[in-house]
Amino acid sequence: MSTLSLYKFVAKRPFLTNLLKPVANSYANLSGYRKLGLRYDDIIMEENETVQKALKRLTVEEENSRVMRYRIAFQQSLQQTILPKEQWTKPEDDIRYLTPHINEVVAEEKEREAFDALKIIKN
Amino acid sequence: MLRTGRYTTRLTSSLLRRNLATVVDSPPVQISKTKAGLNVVSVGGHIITEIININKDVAPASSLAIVVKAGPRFETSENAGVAHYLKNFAFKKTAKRSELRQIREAELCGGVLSANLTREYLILYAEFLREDLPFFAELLSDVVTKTKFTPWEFSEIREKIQFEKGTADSIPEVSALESAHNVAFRNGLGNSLFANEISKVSNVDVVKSFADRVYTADNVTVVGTGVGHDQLKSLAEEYLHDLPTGTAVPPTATQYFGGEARITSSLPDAHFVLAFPGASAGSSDFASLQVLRFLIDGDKHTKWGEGVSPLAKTISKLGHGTKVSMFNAGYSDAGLFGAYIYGSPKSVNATALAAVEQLKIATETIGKEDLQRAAAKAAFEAAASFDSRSAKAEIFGSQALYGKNSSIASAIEQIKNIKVEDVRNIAQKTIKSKPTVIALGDTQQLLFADALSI
Repeated sequence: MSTLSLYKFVAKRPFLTNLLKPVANSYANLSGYRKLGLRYDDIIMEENETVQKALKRLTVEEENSRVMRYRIAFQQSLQQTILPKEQWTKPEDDIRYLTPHINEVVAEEKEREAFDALKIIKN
Repeated sequence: MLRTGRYTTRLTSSLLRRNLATVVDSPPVQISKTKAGLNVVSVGGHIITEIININKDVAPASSLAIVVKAGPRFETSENAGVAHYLKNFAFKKTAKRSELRQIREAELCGGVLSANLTREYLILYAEFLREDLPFFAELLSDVVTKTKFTPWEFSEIREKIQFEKGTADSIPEVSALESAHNVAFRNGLGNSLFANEISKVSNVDVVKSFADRVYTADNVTVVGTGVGHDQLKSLAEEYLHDLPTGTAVPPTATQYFGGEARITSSLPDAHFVLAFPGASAGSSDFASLQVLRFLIDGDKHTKWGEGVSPLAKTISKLGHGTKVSMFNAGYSDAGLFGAYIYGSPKSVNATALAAVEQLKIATETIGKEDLQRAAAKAAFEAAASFDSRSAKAEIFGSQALYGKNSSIASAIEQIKNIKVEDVRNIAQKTIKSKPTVIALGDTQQLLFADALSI
């Protein structure tokens, strides 16, 4: 799931973070999902086992509001329109509710692979 | 099956341990308290420290148990079934290790992990080679102090619990004894070992708050067999130092009620429980009841024989498939004594009447030879109950939690000192009390409690 990213490098340096934050925000706004009321984690590709497993770990409330956001976005898409500006997802509401679960599942998968490929060395 | 819901296999006792048993008669028990106020018990520890320098091959298999006062008897009506959930949260994700890592690492050490639930205790248990003690001490301590209790594990566990409950329901012996406890004690010891469909445990927070309440220093005992006491104590200091020192959960005093429950079922066999108030484990009344149990004893001890007791002879005339076993379950402050019978409805009725008759005879005349036979069997039973590592963990762990300390030798001594009058008195006391009667099967044919002529 991981892609090449300078996120950690930038996040560690306040100067770079402050410099790039507005750019990142306007990029997110330009990408359009916020205008449909979605969050970034709503548009992560879910057609694979890892994300499916992570989705099962959402709480009922998280899952329900995710479905609700999809319905609103789908309706907008059908009507070839976007939401009025006051209903757009605000940057502070654009929470990564799914990514931590995905990272956890990925870590578990890696751990399992490591154990399966384990070689016991006896001293 | 009477007191525990166990689903784990155990290693059989090693031959090496038998060699050890010839060195001393009973493994001496050492008890001490850590700074956090936690009891640490080691069984056979001093021998290990002496012998290990001479011969490293002696008794290399050890066990470690964390015994917690967290059985269903500590549940309330608001969180009934929570103990079953807590048992299934054992060895789930902790702050240090994932579930997979705990199991794989234990496997790599050749150890066996299990969590057992009895009516009074939750027992986190591990068996391993002695050199791996530090690893397993850390692992079991992490279950107590560092389990994460994630909401998504809760939903997985709920499915597992529903399966376990379904399995238990399909075993008539378990159903009958569960309802016997429920009818006899109503709540506390009468609470079911299994979370049922109407359990109010709906989310992980209920389990977590129960865990916070029971995982306190006064409520937890660490029991090791075949490990050095000092090593065990220092490991407990290290890994369980942050256990909160909250007050021990006071159990509600057990009251015996008694009564009758009739469960209609289409099973071909009928199952019948006839029970009376017993005595707490380790008390002198418990020892007397144990002798009474083997005096009435309906078990056949040779394959094709008729059995020696009058009850066993009565049953062998009733044809194949009828079986009666006397039980005497002792808890920390109460007990349940009685007979469990199964077979065809008619033979079950006849056996129940015969058992009552034998109990009545015991209130009047007890032959000297019969008493000797019963006492010998009771003494053997007492000795055998200490035999496995896991039984030692449960017995000595529960004793430490209630501040008692009795060895195998004293348990046997207690039984040998029992006189005819003791058994007669306890039989009279028993038959005067209100019985608990469970009839499971074809209830149209099975006897009612008042037809037992008690």
